[in-house]
Amino acid sequence: MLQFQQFKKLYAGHLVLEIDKMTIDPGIYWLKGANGSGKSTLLKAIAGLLSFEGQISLSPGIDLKKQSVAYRKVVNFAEAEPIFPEFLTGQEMIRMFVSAKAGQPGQAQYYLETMQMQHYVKQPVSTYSSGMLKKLSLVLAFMGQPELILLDEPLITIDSDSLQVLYSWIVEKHQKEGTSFLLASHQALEHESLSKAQVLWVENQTLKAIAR
Amino acid sequence: MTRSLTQLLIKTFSRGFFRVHSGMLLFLFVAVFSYCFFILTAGTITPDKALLFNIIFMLSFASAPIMMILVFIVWTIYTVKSWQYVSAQLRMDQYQFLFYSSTALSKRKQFKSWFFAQLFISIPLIVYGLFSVVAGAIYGHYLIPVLIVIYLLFLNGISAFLYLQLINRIMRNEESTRLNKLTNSWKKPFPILFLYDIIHRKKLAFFITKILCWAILSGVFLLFADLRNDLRIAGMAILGIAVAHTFLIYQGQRFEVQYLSFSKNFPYSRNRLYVQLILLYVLLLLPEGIWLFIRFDAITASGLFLLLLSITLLFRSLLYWLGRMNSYLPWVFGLFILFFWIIMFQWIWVLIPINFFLSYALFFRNYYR
Repeated sequence: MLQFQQFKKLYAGHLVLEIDKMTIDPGIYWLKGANGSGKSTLLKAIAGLLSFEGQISLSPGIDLKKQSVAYRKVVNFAEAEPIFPEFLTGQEMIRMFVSAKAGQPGQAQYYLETMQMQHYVKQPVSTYSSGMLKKLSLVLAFMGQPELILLDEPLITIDSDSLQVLYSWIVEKHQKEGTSFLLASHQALEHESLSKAQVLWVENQTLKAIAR
Repeated sequence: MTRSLTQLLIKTFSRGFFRVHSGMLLFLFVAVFSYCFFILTAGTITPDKALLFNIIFMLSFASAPIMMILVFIVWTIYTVKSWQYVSAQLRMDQYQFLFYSSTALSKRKQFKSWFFAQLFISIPLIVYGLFSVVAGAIYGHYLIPVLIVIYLLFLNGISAFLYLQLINRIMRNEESTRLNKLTNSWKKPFPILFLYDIIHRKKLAFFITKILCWAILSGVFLLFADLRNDLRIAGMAILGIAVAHTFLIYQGQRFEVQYLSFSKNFPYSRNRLYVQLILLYVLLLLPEGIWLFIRFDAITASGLFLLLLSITLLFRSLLYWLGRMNSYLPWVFGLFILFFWIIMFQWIWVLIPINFFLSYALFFRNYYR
């Protein structure tokens, strides 16, 4: 599914991450690593938010740099601490993402209902608590028809009920549409099927797959 | 603790204020001085006489009440701008600790720290005021210099008092203004989100920029009434307007970096994004565009508007490459001088395709960097 070739990320000339050659098969992955190991940097690079050297591509042959539009259409991302323009409402953000990612109108309804967000989604983002904002960013990451969804620290700031809902979204999306997931998290994934997710380690400035 | 608080406030808010507003300050400095002493006098005044003019200018501030009132109004706008900046910063997450740390000091100590922080922000006013006080004292005008000192102390005192109130009151949610409420129901297309950010948070900066542009346009055409058909004059005015937008352009970049970072994941081609950028700046420069179409025939007005758009877009694209204000300003300053001479040599129209090309190339190369 996801391929790296001579991938290198430097900050001010200092090497942060290097992946010489690696292929990640479709599936759900738990991305682990110590604080500052480069998990967020890796996810942002895969999402197309950060520049890097080398290649990242999505099979079959969709290269992030060469087919930038086609790639971004099927790779979605939710940041660890999302920041959105304060004057926009949750609904406007959703509309913007659905339009950008070519999703179906009304696609978000299911997510809003299950996460019980309908009562505040029409309010400006400036009135949201960090948990509400986090939930919104998670909904946005599911818009369109993504082949890969990258979630940076999806388990922080949301309450335990919402966590269960999020787990069910991930499992459903993977089972029904074959969407792959990369979940960067310090917390364990406390869900029957997700706890068996394959583990990827970011360590010593590179990415390693751990056999389970 | 008082001293460290003062240092912290100066380091964060006062220096931050200059970082963000140096574009506008530099522009005012360059514009006022180049117009007053180079363009206005158009070579009839030697450097020694320019100095004399400068002293007369300062002195008229120190002796003429109307001049004093005008300068005081400008100082008030400047101070209000700094209030806006500091209060906006105080709402940011990284400064929340001040609400539960600095407030443990006595009110008098807090006041002192904020007063010094504001004095730092007021350095340009103090320097200018000081010159006038010295010029006034030398030539025997005492009343207005005394008023200048009192007014400066008053502005700084009231600012410190205001910050003190802000930091010590229980936090409230931001009250939305009528304008914000009105725009809540409007559609907000992605390409022009920055215009909504202006309505939401940057109204004053927008109005100051537009008033400045209006003053440049009217001033230049008034000064050169006898040369009004010389395109170079119009070109100069356009250049002035583009530079006056430096601050708003920088704010646009900051907005994009801070609030729209998620959009780099959107499947939009760079060509499409560049067209969206053009659309945004056409709308932002619409007031000046309308003015040009009223003032000139359609062809000249279109040409001048394209010139304005091309310079503005080049400034915007420079930020994709440079990113930071510190390196951005010298470039704007250098380009201002360069374009000034290009316009002087009547190569105005050549500038349009060159600027558009450079702007597009810079944007394309650096958008995802």
